[in-house]
Amino acid sequence: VNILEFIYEGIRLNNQERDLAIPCEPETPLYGPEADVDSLGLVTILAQVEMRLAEHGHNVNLADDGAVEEVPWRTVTTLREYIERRLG
Amino acid sequence: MGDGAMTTLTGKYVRLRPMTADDAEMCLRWRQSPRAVLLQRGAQTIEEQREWFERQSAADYNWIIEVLPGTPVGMLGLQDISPQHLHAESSHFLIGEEEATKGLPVGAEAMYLLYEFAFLKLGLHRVWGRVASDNVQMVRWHQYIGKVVEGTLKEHFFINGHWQDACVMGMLAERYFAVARPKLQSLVRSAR
Repeated sequence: VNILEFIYEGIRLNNQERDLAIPCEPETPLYGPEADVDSLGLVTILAQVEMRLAEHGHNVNLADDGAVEEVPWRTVTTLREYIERRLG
Repeated sequence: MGDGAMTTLTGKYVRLRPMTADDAEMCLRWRQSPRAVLLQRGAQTIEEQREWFERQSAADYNWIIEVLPGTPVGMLGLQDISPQHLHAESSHFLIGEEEATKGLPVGAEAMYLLYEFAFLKLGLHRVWGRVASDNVQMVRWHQYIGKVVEGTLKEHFFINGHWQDACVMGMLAERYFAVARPKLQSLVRSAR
């Protein structure tokens, strides 16, 4: 499962739908003061990742209570690491 | 029910404050922005925008979304509230100032405040809404939060030069508390 590519697919989808140019790079901020993504864009990315994970047999709800403690979507890398932990 | 001109809802990042006639120029600018191209046709002049506001029922809630401490960035409404059937339509959800919302959970917290008000304060059983079928991102956003696509009104809107279906989406109170509320709280609380 190529989690990083799934996240990049979500970023590209959000860029396409919102006419943005957010880079597909490991350190790209996804949420918080440094990010160019709002909550509409973040949901686009999370929904795309969850859909692709489900296609590979992993049904994960990324925006659940566990996410509050970890703030996993600060950057592309922290989101990837969070998903890897969730998948075990 | 029915103090729409007085109700202010305040969250961690966002405040929903009552829209006034003085907001007409700002709302018109938002309605004419590229991001609003998939919304229903709105007012074309400030006078029409003011007239629209004057036509709103006192029982409806029309809010300006502000980023705290007080920057207006968008609008949101709750209308056609039925005391008998305990349902209402969420409407004209629009973020007009994208730059001011980057990195912030503005959309998520605005909808959270609306749902909390609708289900806890007003005691509603169901909140529903209509989204133009071309507005794929908004349909996906509501679905992700927990709204359910309940049906389609065929060619209900004429927007952006062609007929579009209205995607009818609904949220029951039970589903809100079980599914949507934790997601919205997660998106809001993890922003900073």
